Amino acid sequence: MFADDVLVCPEALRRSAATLSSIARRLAYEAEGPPLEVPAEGLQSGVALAELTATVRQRLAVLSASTVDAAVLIRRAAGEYEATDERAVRRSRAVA
Amino acid sequence: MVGYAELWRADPEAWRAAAAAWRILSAGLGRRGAEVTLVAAGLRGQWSGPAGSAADRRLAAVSEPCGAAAADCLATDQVLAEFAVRLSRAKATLAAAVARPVHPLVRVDERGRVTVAAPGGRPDPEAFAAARRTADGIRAALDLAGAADEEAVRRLADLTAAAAAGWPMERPPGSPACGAEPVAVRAWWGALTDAQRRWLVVRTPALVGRLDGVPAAARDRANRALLAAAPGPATARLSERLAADGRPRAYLLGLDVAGDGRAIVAVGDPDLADHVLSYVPGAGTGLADLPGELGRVDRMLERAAVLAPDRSVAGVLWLDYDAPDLINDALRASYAQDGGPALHRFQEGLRASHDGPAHLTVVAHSYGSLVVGVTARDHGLAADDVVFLGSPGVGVRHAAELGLPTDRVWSSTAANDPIQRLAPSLVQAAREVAFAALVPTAAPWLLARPDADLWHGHNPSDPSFGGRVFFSDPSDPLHGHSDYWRYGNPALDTVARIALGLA
Repeated sequence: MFADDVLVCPEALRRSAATLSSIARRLAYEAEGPPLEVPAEGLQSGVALAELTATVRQRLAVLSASTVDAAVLIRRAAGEYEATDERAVRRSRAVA
Repeated sequence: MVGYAELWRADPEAWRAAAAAWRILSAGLGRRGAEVTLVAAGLRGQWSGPAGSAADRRLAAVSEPCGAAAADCLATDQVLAEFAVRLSRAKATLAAAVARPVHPLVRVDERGRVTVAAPGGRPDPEAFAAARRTADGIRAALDLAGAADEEAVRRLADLTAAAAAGWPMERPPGSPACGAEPVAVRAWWGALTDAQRRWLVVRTPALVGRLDGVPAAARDRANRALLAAAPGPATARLSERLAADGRPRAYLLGLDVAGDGRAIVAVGDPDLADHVLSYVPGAGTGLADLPGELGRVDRMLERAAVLAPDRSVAGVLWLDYDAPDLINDALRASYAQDGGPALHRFQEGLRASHDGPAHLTVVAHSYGSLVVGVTARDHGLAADDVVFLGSPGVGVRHAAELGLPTDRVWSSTAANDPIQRLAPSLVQAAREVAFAALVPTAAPWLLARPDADLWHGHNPSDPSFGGRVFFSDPSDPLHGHSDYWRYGNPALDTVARIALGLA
């Protein structure tokens, strides 16, 4: 699909979106992953580490969600490009 | 403030395990970031135009935080690993305080309070003195643990703030001039914000990873990222050691896989240890030999920990020169001359990036001792003590030419180490053989006698060299040249004591 400076391969967009979805799942797994804290009675470091762990897990969940969003947008873009192209084809045929 | 009972209960192994978990998380995030970058690169060829550019920016907004998060998770690993080391040291100090033979009238209760019984109401001065020593030991241990806890809390809080802000990155206004002195590099790094340092580690790991004067922790983060991006058979064993659980944390301070390969690997953070030992290996060493050479560093550190459990020591394997491959290559001093500037800069960088003053020791084996000697002679060497083991000469006639106080220059050559029979020329060797043939009764003496002059100068283990010579056990007939690190060899403990500043 070409238009001056625009080049789009919808199939490539769909493949990329699928890969991004997979990456997002792994990021989500990492956000929820194995224990990162240390139960440490009497050590303030244990409290500080728990706070850090909670913050990092939350941020990773956000990153995972952003990756999902990117995948959705790219997939939708592929669909819209194809729909636009099909409309253009129909109009061209009508004119012809 | 850490209490007596809490310190007994504290489990350094649990902190090491947590450090390893953060290290694994870091590696995973690094891979996710690289995967998103790969997707973006693939899309660029299939989707151009304004929407494609917008998608590219959107993916960068995912991949960059992944890289930054990976760097900060590794920083968390470093904080926790260091905390585990300091906690172990505090526990060892505590154990030593209460395990030492105290007076029979002295008691330590479960809260660490020290009391003295006075049978018949008569105070015993010896018992009071013993009680004071015990109480001082307990206090020292609790102070160590308390300081470690406070430091870890501060660093973890910084990492929490960075995570909450989404691991911000900011391009710094400039970078040090090529060839800038490590002291200038340290000053530049110290003036940067955390966001700027993060940007440098994530975006320019090749620069940060080798820049002497940059703190070891940052270099480690950069070099591990480089290693993860280009894995290969040459670095497989290095990767195994870097990932090793249950062993002191290793810091990757330099890596080059070209040729035989080069690496600088520290065991423990050299910027935080009070004593830092750099080990320069000899001929025939490359990346493939890294586990064995690092094993020598491990042994020196293990002995240091036994001899002085309350002192912090880090060890560095400095394998950042092209070591001669073969024995005939080792006849040439050019390998040592070529390595000199890098060793000079590295030691200067250690001094510059260290938190406060440090006691630096350079230990060199075999041809490595020529590298160290030539560096000290031609460029200067930031070291408080220098130790030569099994040396073929160090490029100078006398210890005073090394630019260090002669009583801080040490050397040992085991009686069964063949290196000391290396006459400086074939002519001299032929002369000795001829003399032995002419005077057969002198032959045993001639063959047993260490040569005063070796391939690369005066034998540093010869008393006239002017350094301090120490004993190495020659009882292993087969490994005279490599036996200095054998457990039970007094030479190993002497090196550890020198590194601890106790000799």
